[in-house]
Amino acid sequence: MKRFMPCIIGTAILCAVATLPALADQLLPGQVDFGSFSPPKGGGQFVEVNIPTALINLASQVVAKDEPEVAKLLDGLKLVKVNVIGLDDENRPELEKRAQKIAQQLSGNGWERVVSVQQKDQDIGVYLKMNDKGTVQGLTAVVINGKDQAVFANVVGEIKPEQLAMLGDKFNIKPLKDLGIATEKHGHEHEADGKAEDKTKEKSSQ
Amino acid sequence: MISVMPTIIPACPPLAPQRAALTAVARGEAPPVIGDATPPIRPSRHRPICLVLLLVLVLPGLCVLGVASYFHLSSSSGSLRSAIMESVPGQWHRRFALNVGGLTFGFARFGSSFFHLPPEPRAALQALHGVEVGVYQLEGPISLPDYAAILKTADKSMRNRGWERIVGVAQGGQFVAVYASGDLRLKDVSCCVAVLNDQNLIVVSARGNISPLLELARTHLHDHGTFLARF
Repeated sequence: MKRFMPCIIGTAILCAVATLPALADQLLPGQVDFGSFSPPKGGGQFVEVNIPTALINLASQVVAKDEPEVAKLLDGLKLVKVNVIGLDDENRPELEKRAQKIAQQLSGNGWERVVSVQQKDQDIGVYLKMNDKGTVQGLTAVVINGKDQAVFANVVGEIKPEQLAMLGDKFNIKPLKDLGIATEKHGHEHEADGKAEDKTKEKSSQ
Repeated sequence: MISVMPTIIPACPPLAPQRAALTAVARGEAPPVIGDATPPIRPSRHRPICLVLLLVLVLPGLCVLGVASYFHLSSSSGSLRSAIMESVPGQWHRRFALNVGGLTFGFARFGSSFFHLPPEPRAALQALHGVEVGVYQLEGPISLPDYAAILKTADKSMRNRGWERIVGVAQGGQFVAVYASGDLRLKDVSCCVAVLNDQNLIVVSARGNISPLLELARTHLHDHGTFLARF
């Protein structure tokens, strides 16, 4: 037995080393890999915020006593990632293409587009990923805001679109807060449109 | 049932008295009586002098090292600084560097316990376990740095030391990167910030326990009737 021990240990270590890259690449449910972004070469805007679970837990502990509801929201989160990239002639085609590709990937991977706004140069897409039990696993927002900037945001965990603004406010992430406000605004417009449509349908049926 | 294995003792030369005693004890026999063949070891007269000399030589060296450490950044902050400097070519000059570590803050906390201090500085002293600040300046005019290269080099360097970038901001001549250590707890929070503003580079690192500060914030904000959830 003693003779085989080094072999067994060696095999175990080799297996562990072999599976490490696979584990590292494994994404959480609700997590989206946008790829890496580079700051624009012309000195344009570039913001990258990546809040890992440890920091979210820390924030949750901080507000637990005074704002239990916020703490509860934070407890359900695992990752917050926001990228804002200023658009210029050099990076615009690439980022627009990437936004389209991400939207296609999300649609094909069981994500539901809950907010969709396409006005002039503005394109906002907010997607939700839910599991079989109806629990939200993640939220992704892809925004091409005119000719100014592109926003890619991914919140992993239990979150509703209307909670985005609050999350942006609590973590002091202005792009996320703005996105939340825009989502809420367009969500309400969508609801109002839906209600108006329902009323017209009811009237026509009567 | 206990079986006793017969032991075969080969013919061998006689052992030294001390070795023979140990062998006998291992066999379960009474050790042989050792005579006064070996003289007792007497403490050397020179030993205390050597110790004092060693202390006299080592203590100043340690003091010099201790004082010098106040003006050198730790390896993590140093690597972040180096990564940025490597990516921004030119001649960098150190304007200022200060590193106040846990020992100094420990002494300060101990010393402050004998005095009456207002709650704010006391909480700050209790919270901080280490602070480092480094200010550097680039000689000559600077062209727009390659922020992508800076982030790449700095991320790689810091990741090797267990730090993750949580914020990266770049626009025009300004650049900010914030790194946090992998295992964050209320009682042990470490963060490292690098700010590049045109020709100036500032690296700040802090380590501490944020609980006392939070308690203080809660008390103050509750006294004023509101609690702003800012962290």
